[in-house]
Amino acid sequence: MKKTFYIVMVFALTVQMAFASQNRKVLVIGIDGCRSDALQQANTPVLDGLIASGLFTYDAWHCGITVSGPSWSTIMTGTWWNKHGVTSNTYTGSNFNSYPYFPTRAKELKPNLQCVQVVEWAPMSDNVYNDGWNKKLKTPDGDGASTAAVAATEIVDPNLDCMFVYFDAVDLTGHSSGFSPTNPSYIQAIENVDSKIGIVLNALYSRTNYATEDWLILITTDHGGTGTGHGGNSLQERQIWWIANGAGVTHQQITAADPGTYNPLIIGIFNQSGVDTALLKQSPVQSDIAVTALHHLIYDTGVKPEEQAAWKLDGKSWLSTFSGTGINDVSGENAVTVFPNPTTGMVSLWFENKNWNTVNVGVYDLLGRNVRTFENLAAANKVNIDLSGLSCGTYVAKIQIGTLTLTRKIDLQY
Amino acid sequence: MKFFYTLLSLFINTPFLFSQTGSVTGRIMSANKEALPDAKIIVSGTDIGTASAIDGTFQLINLPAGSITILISYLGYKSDTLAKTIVAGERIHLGDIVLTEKGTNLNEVVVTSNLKRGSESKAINLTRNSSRVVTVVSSENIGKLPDKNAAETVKRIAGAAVQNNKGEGAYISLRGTPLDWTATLINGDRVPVADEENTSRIFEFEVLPSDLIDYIIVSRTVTPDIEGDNIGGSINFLTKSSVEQKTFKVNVAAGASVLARKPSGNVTFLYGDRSKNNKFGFVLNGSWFGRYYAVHSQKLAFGSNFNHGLNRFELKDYDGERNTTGLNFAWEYKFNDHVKIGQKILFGSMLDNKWQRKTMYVYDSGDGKGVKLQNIHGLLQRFLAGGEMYGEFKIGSRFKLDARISSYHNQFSYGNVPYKNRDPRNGYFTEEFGLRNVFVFTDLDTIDLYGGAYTGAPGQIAFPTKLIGNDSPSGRGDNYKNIQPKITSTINADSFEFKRAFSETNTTKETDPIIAQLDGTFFINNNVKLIGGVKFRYKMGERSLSFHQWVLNITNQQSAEPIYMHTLQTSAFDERGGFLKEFGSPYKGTFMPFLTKDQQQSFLNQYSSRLREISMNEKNPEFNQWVGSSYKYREMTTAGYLMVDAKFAKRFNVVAGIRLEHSNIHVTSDTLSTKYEIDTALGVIYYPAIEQSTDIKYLAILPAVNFNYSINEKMNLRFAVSRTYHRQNFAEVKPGFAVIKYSEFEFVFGNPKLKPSYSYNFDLMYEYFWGNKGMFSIGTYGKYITDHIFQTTQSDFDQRTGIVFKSATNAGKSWVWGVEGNIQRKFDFIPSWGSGFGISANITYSLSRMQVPGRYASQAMAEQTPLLYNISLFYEKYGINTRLALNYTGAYLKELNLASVKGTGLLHKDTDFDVFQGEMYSLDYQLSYDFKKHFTVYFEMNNLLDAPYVEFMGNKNRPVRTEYYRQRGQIGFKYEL
Repeated sequence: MKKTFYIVMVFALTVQMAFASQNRKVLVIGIDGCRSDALQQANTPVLDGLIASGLFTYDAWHCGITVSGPSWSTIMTGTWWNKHGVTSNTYTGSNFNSYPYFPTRAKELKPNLQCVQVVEWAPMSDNVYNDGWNKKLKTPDGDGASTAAVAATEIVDPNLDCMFVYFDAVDLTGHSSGFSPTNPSYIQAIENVDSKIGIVLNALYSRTNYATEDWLILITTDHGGTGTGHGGNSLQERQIWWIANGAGVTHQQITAADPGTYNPLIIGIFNQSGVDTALLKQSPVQSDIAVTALHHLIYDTGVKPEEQAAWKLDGKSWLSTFSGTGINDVSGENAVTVFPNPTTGMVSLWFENKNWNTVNVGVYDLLGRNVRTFENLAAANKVNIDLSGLSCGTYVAKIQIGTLTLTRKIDLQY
Repeated sequence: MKFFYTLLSLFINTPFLFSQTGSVTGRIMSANKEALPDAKIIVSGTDIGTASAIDGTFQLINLPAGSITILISYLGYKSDTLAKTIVAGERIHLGDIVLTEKGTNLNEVVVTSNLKRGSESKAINLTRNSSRVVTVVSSENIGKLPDKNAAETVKRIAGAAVQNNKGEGAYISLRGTPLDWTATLINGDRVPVADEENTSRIFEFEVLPSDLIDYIIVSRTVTPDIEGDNIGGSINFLTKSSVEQKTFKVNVAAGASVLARKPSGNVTFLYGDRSKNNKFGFVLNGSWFGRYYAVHSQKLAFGSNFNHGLNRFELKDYDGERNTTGLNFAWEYKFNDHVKIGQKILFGSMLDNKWQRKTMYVYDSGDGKGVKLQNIHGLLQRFLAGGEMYGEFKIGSRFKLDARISSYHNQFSYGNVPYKNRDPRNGYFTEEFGLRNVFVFTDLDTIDLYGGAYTGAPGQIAFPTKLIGNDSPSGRGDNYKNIQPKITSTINADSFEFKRAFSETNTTKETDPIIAQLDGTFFINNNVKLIGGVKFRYKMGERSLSFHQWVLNITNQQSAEPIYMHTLQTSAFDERGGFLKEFGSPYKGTFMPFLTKDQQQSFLNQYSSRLREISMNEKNPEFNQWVGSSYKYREMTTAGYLMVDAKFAKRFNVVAGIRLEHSNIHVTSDTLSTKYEIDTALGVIYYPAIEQSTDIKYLAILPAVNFNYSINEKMNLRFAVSRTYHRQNFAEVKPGFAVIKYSEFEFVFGNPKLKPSYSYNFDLMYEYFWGNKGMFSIGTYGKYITDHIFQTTQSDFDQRTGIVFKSATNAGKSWVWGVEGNIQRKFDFIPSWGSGFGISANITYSLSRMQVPGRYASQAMAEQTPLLYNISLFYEKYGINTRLALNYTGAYLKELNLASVKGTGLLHKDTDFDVFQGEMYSLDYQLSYDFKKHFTVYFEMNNLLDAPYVEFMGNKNRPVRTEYYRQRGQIGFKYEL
């Protein structure tokens, strides 16, 4: 027995040397717009099979903007929208340079990883950079059959280390006839995607070396929905789910309370009251997927993603739960993003403005003299200020949002 | 065939073989050398008589040898008598017989120039003496009215209704019947159609200036010599032909549009002459009309088959400049009395430089929700060219042959926007900006799927939805005249970012390279003619729509930085004296600035380094929307007819015969393959396009009988029965995927199984003539139609998209019954100056029923207006010619939603989800004064009531589209030699 193991180890090592491949591998499957309660209602034998031997939660939380662009960016970067910068499906304002997709982070430690994504929704492929994919494949939107077929072809590649497969049909059906467990079409769409996932998994299990590989399978959704839409802060939109399955994953269900949301919508209308950072450390939330996947890919380096201060991740790795270690502190910080910095004049400041207050910005030179004032700017998460006309050098912007004051340095260069 | 020979020989038998008689030919002219058609020529004391043809010529055959007296009479003219001696076997040429006008008031004749009255009398004469139910409008009538395109002229005619495009007449229908039931002919040929959006066979009149038209002949009944594809009737525009004497006319005008607050100009000229030996004549006339226009418009898009949830709300402000140019050249050469040849060449173009600023509130959820600003620019180019060669051959005294070959080309394309030099990416070009703030709409009602209040009952799904008016169960629906979207964020100009720019390309062409026609007339005797002919037409066309898009090229953090609208050159929104002032200017001061026109044009170049171009091809993820948007077609029509035109017992005239028309239609277009392919280099999985085709062939058998009983000189009683049909449009039967109307979010599917409509028509009419001073008519008509073609509409089952699907379907049995009245009368019974007053009015009222598949009860027929009328009051005396004209077309059903669902498994039986065309009306005024013999000054004001164009869903409180154009006016002068 021991001898066999040894031989396998040698073989695996050889493979890794020859194909730059490794044993620990990740498959992330995304189902767009799949409500947690509807998933439980639907007859999904494939997902049920993964749940039966895996760890799962029907009470994971979305703490950001319940729109696909920002949501998938959180799932793939492990940070909330105020870091990755994506607030809409146009992907403008994105900051994937500082907050890249998890394969990029993994490759910082393991540059030879082979990573592939197969997605149906073009902006997720076209508008994302610094994502670490070796290959990006686009399939027709909502066409789960071709997505599954293409993913099944790709996933048998012996060199593959990480794959992301994305299905859009459930979200499309929700928009069409309602995101609701009582909507038969919506349930049907979930069941269809479940069978497509079965095709991908069968291909995965047929990999030549599957028996010796350590695959972590993570399946999740980006948001729920209410009526025929989403984007708001209701529980139907924010309550999500995920499933983890793999060699080292034990079967258990995780339930946890809602930590609240960073969604910049006006508070009051949706009865939200910000984010409970204590809960954020315990509850399964959307930003955990990337961190967990990343942790699995780089596990043998001994690096824990949450401990990499430079990565500034918001999520936590659940691998530690599998192995019983603690959770990283992800208390929210009031980040201000300055762009571009250095600047030639026009500067955009990004920050969190939960209470939708009016914003005042004062610009000071290094001697503390007020050189520019921008008052009563609109209640926004972003303001644009113009420093042109000032001499080159370093300035400090004091951003006053309600009672909160944040400061950032700005370099002006011509 | 043998049967026809037998029939023929029966008719021609005696008189042909044993000719003991002589004949007379001649031409009836007015003093100013205008041909007088339909003058009566009678041999006194006998039954022998005839009428002059449209060129004034006539012939009398079978005249007994000996002395005869020929009596020539023409309405409004002094009669003439000629005594001649007939010699057996000889023909006498009488040459031109000039009739002089009757004038009760010598001064009047001098001041108002004979030319005008002459042609108006001619029109009434043609109307009276025709064997069909027709209305003839002369060039004089055309010039009298403030209409700059031919459609607007026609709308004054009894039973004619006109649909507008941006405030100008574009399409005509007769008796309120569906637009495409009316055949539009130019010099007798149905012209090809190529338009930006209209894919039917309905001619777009904007390209045809009324100044090129000499006569308009509107026929409400058919004879077998007319193309049978005209259930509603036909309108034949005769362009100016050669003149009889040197003629020179110039017309110069200037005006303005109230909404556009910009000028307009109009120049027309006509020059013609005739050779000294009278054999050769020609005419060249042209027209240019340039004007600015503006439109305020509101659009509501309802996005569901289940409820009246508002998907999109748009406020549109258009302005533009239109230039219409027309040129007509015609010549004629008369070798002798037997042979005449001629040619007519026609050219028309309309350029529309159109700008639009659109504010969009998109209520749909998920990625599509937003507040958007669109800056749109397009250079619309319409172009029509064509002409005909004709020859008229008289063989002996009994046989006449008319041969004609014509060719026409019509095309639409977009001009040089956004690039120069006919770049294939040029099209209807939009730069779109969107509100960057994260927001949700707060003016939503929570309803269940079917529009009722959401109660939380088990199984009920809550749909937060924007509803207007009474559709809102909570009662907080906005009135359609004041829809105020509310969101959780302040909307300010600084928060709009560039979303994308896109160009909708469109090249549409239709060509009839050859139309050949041969008509033979055999005069059995003076009262009986046998007419037969053949016609062949080859038609080919194509329409290709595509799309080109520019988006932010996001490759790193810096390039992901938005392009904010406020960093571009913008200007404050010009409300033009109150945007939708007619609604009380509800959006005053709320508009965001829009890009300046310069910035709109320079944006792409300026930001080219930050943009990524996405062309439309199989590998584009949106290709599935466009795959069917291009199609090609050809059609061959072969027709033959035979008819008898017989006068008997002096007062009866029968035209009876049969027409056979064979159509052979072939249309090709694309759909997506069901098998995907992989482009490994691009990493794209796609479904390639595959071509499909439709072939349709059928023979239409179309008998027709027209019967006219001339009770006396003043009264006619007409009766007609016929069978006509309506061909399918090419887009209606195209195979493959739908044609997209991108900015309307519409997909129009073809239905290759669509059948042509056939109609049995019945007409009865009584006419009364007050000499040349006017006429009165009253009539009734009925049509029984099988396979009436109507348009269906249905919302996407994906309620988010706001997409609407349309297609054409055949209805079951349908019928229309109508009554119509018409009066034209000068009040000459009022003494002195009062005799200059007069009225011209007509009304058509109809009832119709259509059996719609899937609906239990029959309903009013689609596209049939129940009521239309025109009333104009005029004064014509002392050189003053003034007229106030009101034109009205009632609302009618336009598109039927056969997918609207009331509850689980229940279809809507009413028309609450159907789209209606709102009522249309216009009040126009014109004044002209002839202050010297050759000079006329005139003034005209159009659309005095500022009438809107409206389409609504179910009822008027749910207007899908509302457009206002305000008044426009023109002042000018004419010079006439």
